Amino acid sequence: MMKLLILLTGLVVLAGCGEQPQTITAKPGTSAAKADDVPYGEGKSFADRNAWQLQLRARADNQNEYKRVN
Amino acid sequence: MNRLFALFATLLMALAAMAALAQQSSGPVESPADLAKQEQQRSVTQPYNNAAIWKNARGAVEGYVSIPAPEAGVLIQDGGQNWRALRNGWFSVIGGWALVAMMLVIGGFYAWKGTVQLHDSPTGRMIERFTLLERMAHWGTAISFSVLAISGLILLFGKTLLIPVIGFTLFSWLAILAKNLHNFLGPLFIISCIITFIVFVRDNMLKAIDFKWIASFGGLISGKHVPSEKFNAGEKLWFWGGLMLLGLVVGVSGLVLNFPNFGQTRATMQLANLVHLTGATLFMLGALGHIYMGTLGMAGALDAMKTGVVDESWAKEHHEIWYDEQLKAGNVGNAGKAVAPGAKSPQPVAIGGHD
Amino acid sequence: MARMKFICDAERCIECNGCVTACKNEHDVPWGVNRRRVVTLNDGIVGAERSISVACMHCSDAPCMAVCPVNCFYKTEDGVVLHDKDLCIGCGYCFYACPFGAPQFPQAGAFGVRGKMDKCTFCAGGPEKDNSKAEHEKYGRNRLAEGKLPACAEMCSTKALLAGDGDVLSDIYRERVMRRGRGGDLWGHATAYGRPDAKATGPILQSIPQKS
Repeated sequence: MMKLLILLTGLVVLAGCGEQPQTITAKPGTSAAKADDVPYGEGKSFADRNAWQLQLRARADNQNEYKRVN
Repeated sequence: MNRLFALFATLLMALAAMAALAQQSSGPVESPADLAKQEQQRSVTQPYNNAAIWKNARGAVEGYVSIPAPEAGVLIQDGGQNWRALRNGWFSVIGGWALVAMMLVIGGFYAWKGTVQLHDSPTGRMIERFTLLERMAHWGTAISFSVLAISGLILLFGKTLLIPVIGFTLFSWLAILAKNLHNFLGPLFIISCIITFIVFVRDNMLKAIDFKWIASFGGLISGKHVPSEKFNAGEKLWFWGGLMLLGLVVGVSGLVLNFPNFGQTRATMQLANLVHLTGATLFMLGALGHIYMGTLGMAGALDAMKTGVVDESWAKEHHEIWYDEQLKAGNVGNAGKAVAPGAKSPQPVAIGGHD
Repeated sequence: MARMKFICDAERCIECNGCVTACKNEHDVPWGVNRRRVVTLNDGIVGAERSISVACMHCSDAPCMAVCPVNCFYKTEDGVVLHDKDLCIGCGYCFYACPFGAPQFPQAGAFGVRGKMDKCTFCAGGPEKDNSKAEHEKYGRNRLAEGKLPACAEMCSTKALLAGDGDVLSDIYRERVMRRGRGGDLWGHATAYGRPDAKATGPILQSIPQKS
């Protein structure tokens, strides 16, 4: 009886070894959601991803008031 | 027995420690007022050194915020990450495998012993075992429990087990259904538990004979017969440990989670969730055993809860003390219609069994 | 590849709640839901008062994503954590897990029954077609798709709250710290390296044995 109990406890404790790594790897398409729309491409405001990113970078850089005031 | 108890106590303490860990943050070492004073001094000698302010930011220190929501003034709460790690890790992994193991054990037991049949042939003289009220209370609890268990399992393991099979959209529908069933049937289950407790408590008082039953494991392994009352010690254990204790644990923690409109903090809800998970897993493990004994494991047990009456031979073989009492009281053969030996038992009273 | 981030400079935040108001207005956020809030520590204590504007920080290893039972969260290529309200079941787990208290739940019935979760989208909408009516109703305006940055940061009057590509923000912040001439919020720098003429009054300097 005692042996069985020790064996069972051991198994239960070892079950923790089955733990999966929890870090999320964000691969597009692995989520439940519908595919996200992108703001660039045919008929959109931006020709390609690069153009869009350049715009966003310029915009972010605009937040640096030293470049704007001085 | 002593060592067994020690082991159990250790496990319990480990669980409590884990729960405490989930709540622990890198909390205040120095009081906020002290740190504020330090910062005031620092703002003179070392301007722009904010170390004293941020020392407590990660913890339970609440700042001022214009939004009247509970805990809106907390910048960073640490408990969430611990809760996440425990829920997604230990609690669901150990709980999940424990359920699988229990099913395997029961399957193995069934392969070994099969259904326990009556040794004597039924006499056809029926005894009332469960009144209509008792059966209604039992099935009310049983049905709500089953729905809660299944919906709870869907919410905990569906992401891993069901999404790869049925896809995201369909699973989301299922999860919405499961969540609402779980939330609305939860309080109903608590009420059923209370009714069941009141109805059955008189017959579940522990007596000396029960310890004899436990010591010999109900004669399950030895095959030797141990007389028992209306409920044997195993059933009583399920009544006190399952229905009452686990019912209380799952019920209270469930209510904390179900009604977030009383301003309980996230730390409270994280703890309640872990307690709920533990209680529910133990409850389901017990229920698997209980359902097995009530259906596949023991011939005639399910009929007793369906129709409320049992055959004389069944009573004599499984609950001898209770049978003797009934015999003395002249109740044997009074219940239901007298049916010829070998005929089917009376038509079950229409109560929604889920067998 | 860009990694969208927020930075809040506690030396600059004046607790005007402009970001909170901008967010509410930009996305038509309903009453009781606050995607952004300003927390003030040591409120009213001169010299020790600091304010921080908090919203979803779009974590790299997002706890909300990890605990969501229906996997409704996703991350865009730019590191923005978004969610699909059509799949959300309103269980509240993301709210338990989030360190910043970002997920918000509109009350959808009696007894605090949770509706579908709402949170900061980094002004990037949701999975619906960009700038469509459906997207606007569920998630608010998609400024990122218009080539703009989050409204809260872009309208911050003291430029305490910055949003955008992490590299650009780092550059701005570095320049700011250099002009301040001090360690700024690079916590502990001033304490560790001190100023030659600083009097040994701070608790850490006092603890260092002085040469007599």
